Amino acid sequence: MKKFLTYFFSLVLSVLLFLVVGEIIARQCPNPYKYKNHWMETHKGEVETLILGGSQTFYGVKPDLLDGQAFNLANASQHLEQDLWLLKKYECPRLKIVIVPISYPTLFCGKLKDGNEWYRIIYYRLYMGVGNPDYSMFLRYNYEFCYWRSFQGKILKALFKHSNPGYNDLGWGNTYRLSSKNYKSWESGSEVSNAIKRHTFTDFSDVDKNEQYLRDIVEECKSRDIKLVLITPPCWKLYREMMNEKQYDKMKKIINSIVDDYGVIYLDYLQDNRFVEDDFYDSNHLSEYGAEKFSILLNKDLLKLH
Amino acid sequence: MLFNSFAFLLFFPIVCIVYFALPTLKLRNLFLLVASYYFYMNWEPVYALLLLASTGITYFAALGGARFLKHKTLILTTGIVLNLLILFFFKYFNFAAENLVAVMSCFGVKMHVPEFKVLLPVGISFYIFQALGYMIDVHRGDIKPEKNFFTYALFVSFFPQLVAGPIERSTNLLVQFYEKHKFEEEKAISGITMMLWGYFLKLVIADRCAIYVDAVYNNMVNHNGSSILLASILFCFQLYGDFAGYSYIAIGCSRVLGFHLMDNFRRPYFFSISVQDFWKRNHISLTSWFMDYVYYPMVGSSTKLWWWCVSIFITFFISGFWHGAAWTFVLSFSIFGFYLVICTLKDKQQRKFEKKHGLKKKEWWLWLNRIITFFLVMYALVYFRANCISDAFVATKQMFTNLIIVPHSEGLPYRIITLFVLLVLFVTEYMIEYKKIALKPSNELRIYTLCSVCLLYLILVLGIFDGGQFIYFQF
Repeated sequence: MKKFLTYFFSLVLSVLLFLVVGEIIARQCPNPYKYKNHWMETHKGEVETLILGGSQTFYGVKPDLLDGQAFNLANASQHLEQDLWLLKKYECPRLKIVIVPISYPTLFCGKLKDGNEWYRIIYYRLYMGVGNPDYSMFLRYNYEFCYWRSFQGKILKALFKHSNPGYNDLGWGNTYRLSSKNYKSWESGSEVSNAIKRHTFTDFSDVDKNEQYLRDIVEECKSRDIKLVLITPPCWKLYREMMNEKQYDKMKKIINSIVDDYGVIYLDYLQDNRFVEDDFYDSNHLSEYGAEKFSILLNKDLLKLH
Repeated sequence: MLFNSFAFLLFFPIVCIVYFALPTLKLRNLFLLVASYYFYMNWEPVYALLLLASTGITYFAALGGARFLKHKTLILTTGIVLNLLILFFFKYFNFAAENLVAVMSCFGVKMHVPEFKVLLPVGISFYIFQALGYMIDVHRGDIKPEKNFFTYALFVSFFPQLVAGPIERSTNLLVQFYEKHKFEEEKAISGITMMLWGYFLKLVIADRCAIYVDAVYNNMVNHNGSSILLASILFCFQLYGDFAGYSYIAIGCSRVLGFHLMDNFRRPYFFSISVQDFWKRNHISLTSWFMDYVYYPMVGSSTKLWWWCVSIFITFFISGFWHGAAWTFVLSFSIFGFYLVICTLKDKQQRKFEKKHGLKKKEWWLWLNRIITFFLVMYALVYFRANCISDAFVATKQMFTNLIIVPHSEGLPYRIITLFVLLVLFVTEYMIEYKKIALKPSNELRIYTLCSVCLLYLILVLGIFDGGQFIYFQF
């Protein structure tokens, strides 16, 4: 039995060692959450415009094309709850404008921690220091290795010294390049229908909670004398055509009620026909060209507000 | 339950601990039977009834055949037909209906056959073939019919090899359920190491190769000949890693529990010197099943070469159908059948030629044959992997006419990793083939442990953990 136990515990210890060393390596690996937190901590006294939201603004708004010191604090799949966490965390004395995107699924999706991308909660906790502090240390939201694919990817990145971290100095996501767009699925429309399928909800049970988060963001901005700008970023025309009208109407109704209640500015680019096919990376994300065009247009519209 | 799932990592140690803790053989077998059905019912509980039906039919057919000797052939035939009907109904009904409609429409007859919408029961071909093999063995008098229904049910449903083989013989496995296995350190250590090797083959080799293979084969028109050739080469390793991986895990699991399952693979892709040799090394349990229960009975005592060739071709043609209800499988195995017919016809001349020039023991000659065999196998497997026959023709045309190599640095880490893991596979198989390693845990525990830890690290760092099911589950 001694030999078997020696063998067995060697394997168990190897796994534990791997997890510990891997966790250290993964946490040292550059990632947008860590970078953005660091940037905000060191530049919070300078920032005038802050871009929040999920992938549509992460890849779609280039802060260097906006007037004044702007920073893109959006992250893929960032929910209104995380927007609120981040807004509350960073007290920026010169902050004048906060941009929050409201796209087709924003007001209808469940909390990030309960969805398919639950693992992103780990990054908010580990690298941005926001989130629920009451989680037990045994929960999956505490360690990089709890989401194996990304954990493994970070170890491999460290091994191969991967150079592009996926974002630029001002937090804009720079990996949605037209050159890597999947043309076949784009042309056949299957990408659009898949995206619509993912973004359409039959159950509106999360709407009230999400509306409350949005109202909390408005209140937070109001209390700090910050101008809140709600935007709906552009989408490919087929995406708009395939949207569920009931969900879309509900979204518009909520936005209008918030605009009416608080006098918030709302800019709708959803069906803006100035965006052509090459401006899109996929049906609901802009390519690098689209991001540039959108950022310039947005900047012009923001200037008009002053 | 998948071998590459977290549930199995909990299930297997619990089964081992309870199995060895139970005091009597009866209890152990009963527990293994319950565990095996639980393992199977994790996919679709209702299909356990099919497993039970197949078990019941073959059990009673074997017993009945032994009791009513006058009617034993009739009983055997009934048992075989009933099992094949189950297989046909669940696996081939829609395929047959589709083809019938197509053929009739050629003659201007419009037919409507209702589609049978049902999920293919996992591993149905494996356990039905294992049960059929038992019935034929009893009929031939190679083994006495098993009287204990539970022991026989365990033989058909033994969880390590239930869904993707090796297709065991009653003469090997059934008798082992009458031995009370003690926990043996050496078997447990080598069993776990074998499981790790299986996981390496599945998670690191097969699922990694699958990324490129799927990208190319699912989007054939956007790829040139060299991409298709590379994908076809990688598909050989994907298929090998997937299936051999499953077999090694199955054999390793059984070994930990004290059982011995037959070898299913002996390094077929790197070291086969002919297509005949390939089929002696690849999916051995299925090949030998077809040889014993289809080919040899068909050949009988005939000495006619042409009949041997026809029998080989028919055996491989049927084997293609066994793999799946699609013409791509049938065509792929027909190509293998064709290769083997050629091998049989040129066998004498080749041996003469090798003897005359003293080539048999020359390394360069062996490697030349290995490379030729690899590419012949690769070509037959293009049909196996292609989504439809027309895709396979496109792939063939592209590989022969559009071999352009476009250098680009995109996906370089993926390519380096894939090359590295294939190198690990080659070096390991080379060392086993040339008998440079033959470790026994009893005297080489340190090296054994070191190798296992290295394998474990390769799996943890390079394994694809969301690669999904094993390819052979669909058969």
